[in-house]
Amino acid sequence: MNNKTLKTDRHDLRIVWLTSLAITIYVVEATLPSPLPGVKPGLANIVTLFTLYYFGFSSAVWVSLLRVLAGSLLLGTFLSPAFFLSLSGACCSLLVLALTRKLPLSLFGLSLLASLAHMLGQFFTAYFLFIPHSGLFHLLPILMTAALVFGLVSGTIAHATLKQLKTKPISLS
Amino acid sequence: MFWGETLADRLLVILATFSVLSLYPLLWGGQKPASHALIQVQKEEPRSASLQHRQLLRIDGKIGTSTIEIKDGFARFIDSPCRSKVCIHYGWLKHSGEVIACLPNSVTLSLVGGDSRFDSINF
Repeated sequence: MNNKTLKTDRHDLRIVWLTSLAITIYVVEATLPSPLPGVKPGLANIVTLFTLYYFGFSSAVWVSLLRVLAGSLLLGTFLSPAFFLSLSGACCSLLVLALTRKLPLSLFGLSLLASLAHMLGQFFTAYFLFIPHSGLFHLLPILMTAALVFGLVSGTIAHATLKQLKTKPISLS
Repeated sequence: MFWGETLADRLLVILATFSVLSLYPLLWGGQKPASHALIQVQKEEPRSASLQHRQLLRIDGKIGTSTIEIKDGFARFIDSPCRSKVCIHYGWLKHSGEVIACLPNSVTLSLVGGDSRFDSINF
């Protein structure tokens, strides 16, 4: 009880490593031009999926939310609309992953679900907090098509990476 | 092409694709042609005009006279004293809910009706 310093254990370090990987992808992706706000590949979420697969749900929550927080600080969007869209998307996809991770879905299926949930979460946050106009719904089909395509792309990448990791095992402890 | 590892994956891909595609007719379809144009100048009571009668309306706004043409269920600005002429370049309006606002002249043209929102309109 006298020990007042926080000890970092292997678990903490693992989360930090995974989060920094996710942040790197997130920041690089932010430099890509996007035709519509909210439309981007979302490759950083692959890291969340791998964390879920190897280390369980609570680690995935840490990696995902820390990535949103630290990523927004790096990009200068902290507490801006973009931050809240990102946060609500992340929360929504975590919620869906929590509900569906026991289903017989591979990372590919989970990636698709997470991508769709992310976009829906973002969209309804944008609708209720920022632009409460019914015209926004005209954008929804395009946004969901983008989410579908990018979810399939991320899922394919996740699947291929997992296959590589299984044939050439690396230390993940 | 790779489209899933398990049966559940594949069912999900089919279901998701179907749902996303069904959003298009759901959210983009069903736009009804409007029946009336509402024209509002500044904060005045809007005046209504049927889209069925072919007519040219001269509306006195803040800086001059805007001309609105109504023809065969369509409405548009054809003349405006504003500098940018955004209202004219917007082109024809047809569907209920569409709006053109000429901000410099404070003239707003919006289309309503066609979705039985009103039982009757009195003039």
